[in-house]
Amino acid sequence: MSAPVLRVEGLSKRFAAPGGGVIGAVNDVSFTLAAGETLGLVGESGSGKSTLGRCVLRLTAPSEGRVIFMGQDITSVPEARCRPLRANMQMVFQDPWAALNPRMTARDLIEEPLMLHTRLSRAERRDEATRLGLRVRLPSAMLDRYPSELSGGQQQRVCIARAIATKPALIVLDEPTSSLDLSVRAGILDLLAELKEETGAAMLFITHDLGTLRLMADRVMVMYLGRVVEQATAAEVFERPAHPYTQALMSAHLPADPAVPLARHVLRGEIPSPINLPPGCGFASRCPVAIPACRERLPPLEELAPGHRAACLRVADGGNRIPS
Amino acid sequence: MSDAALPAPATPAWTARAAGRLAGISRRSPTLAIGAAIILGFALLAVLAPLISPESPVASNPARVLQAPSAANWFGTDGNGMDVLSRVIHGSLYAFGIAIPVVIVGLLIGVPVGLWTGWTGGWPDEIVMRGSDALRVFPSIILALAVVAAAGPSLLNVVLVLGLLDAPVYARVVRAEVLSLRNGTFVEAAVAAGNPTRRILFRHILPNALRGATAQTAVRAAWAVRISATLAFLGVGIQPPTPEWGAMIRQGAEYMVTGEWWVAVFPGCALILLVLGLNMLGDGLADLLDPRRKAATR
Repeated sequence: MSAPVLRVEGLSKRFAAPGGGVIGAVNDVSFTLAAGETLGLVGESGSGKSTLGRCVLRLTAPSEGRVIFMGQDITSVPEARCRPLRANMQMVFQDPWAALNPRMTARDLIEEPLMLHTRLSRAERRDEATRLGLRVRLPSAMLDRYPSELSGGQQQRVCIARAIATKPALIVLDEPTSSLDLSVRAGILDLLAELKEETGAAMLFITHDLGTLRLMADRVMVMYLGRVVEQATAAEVFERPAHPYTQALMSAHLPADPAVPLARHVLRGEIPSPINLPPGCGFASRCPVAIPACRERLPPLEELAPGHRAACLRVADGGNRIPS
Repeated sequence: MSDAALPAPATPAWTARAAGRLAGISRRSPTLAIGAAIILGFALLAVLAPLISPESPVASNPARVLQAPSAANWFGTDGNGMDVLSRVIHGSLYAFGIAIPVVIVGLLIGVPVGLWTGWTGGWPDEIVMRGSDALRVFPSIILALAVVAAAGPSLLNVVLVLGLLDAPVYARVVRAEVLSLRNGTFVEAAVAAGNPTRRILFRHILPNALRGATAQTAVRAAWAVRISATLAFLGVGIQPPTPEWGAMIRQGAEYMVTGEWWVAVFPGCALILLVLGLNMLGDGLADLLDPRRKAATR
């Protein structure tokens, strides 16, 4: 495996809570992402997935830890010096309607990264935008429209064309399909899967949809309350989830085969407030296999098998399986 | 089959299309249409003033001082024997000549200030906004009076002072829109794409932050017409015998008590009508440009 495109070490992001106190949105997260690899980032709303994505791209400054992109520590580089790097790291946002400037045509929007990062002439940019448009299956007639004149799926295609325009080494996709209709979603996912093969870009794919995850991700990182609770290859996570939270999450995913027996683990209890977190495992309040020690000690992320790591105290004594 | 039998709709000429659009807008907002029609009327008067006014606006004739409206002088004559109709027509030239530059000066100062303070926030924002509060709290007519009286009653001074007084209004609406756009997703997307700050401000934020300011221009033009006429009426603005409506009303006011009403009433009506038209246009524009207001009136 080649040198990682992205290495994140001990990244934390804290926000001041409105009423005093501190919200730990992301806590001590480390991972690497190799060229051509897609890392799926799953977790429920508020688990810090999007904040992590934004920290990686330096759209917000992390509170702690380091982000090393293509061998360069970008954690404390001033924004002006980050700008040339942005040709190599792009983002696709959740809501394409909000992410597109309503006063620019699709063509202007697709040409913008080319204008900022390449020395192409006006005519060459035009040709390249047309080519990119066709690549994401937007006919060139569509390119002269404004975002308000495009459908949600077409808007997201514009966003994707923008993101791949400069052939970036890393693309962060923040729930790129969750605001789209199901029928449109399939088309966008197909396109993304094709682009993944074609461009060789590393992708950080943020989602809460397990079907999408299964289709796109090579490796999966599960987050709960700002912490990574499990990290493994996609196959491992779907077949042998170790952390009780991952098990519950995977049981919520309906397999396409109706003959497969379902093991449903419905979680009870509340997520603790992210303000001033309790000392132990964040999941202890909802965990069916929690023991008293879980509420006192933070479980470290430990390797169970090569490439498979989970943060659960019960893994050691084998009590981490939720009985069905 | 039945579809094929229908005649293909002919592509309308651009004039027909434009007319169709105008009809559509006037149906949706009659206020806008009436306001625009009034302003268009005055604009025509202003442009064609030398051609259509029966006499020179400053041609005095001692032989026909203070004559009532008649077939020869439709609006009568004033104390200098000048034709009131010609003076009212030429007055529209001065009304536009003040209102348009005032709005331009106000926009040129207010929009960049609003953009800058909205984007940076912090102490520059505090200082500029408190300063503009101070300007707004102070009655603008008194401030304008003082400054014009001190600087001298020229057209240029009136325009500069009114423009400066007007700037906080634009700064405020632009700032408010910049504040709401600043943390928006497409601005974040623009940062993620690698846009330099200057381009984010002028290409991404500014075009989306001008809605409120645009809607304000007509209303502020009405204000400029009103205040400049007031200044002239009080004797510190444009001086007679320049055919400015405020100055004309001032001259005519002396004759009201003795019954020669036409000297003041005709320029007064012109002033009211233009200010009304501008306000209606401003209201209509606000409806048209603000989707939320439009939805509420539907």
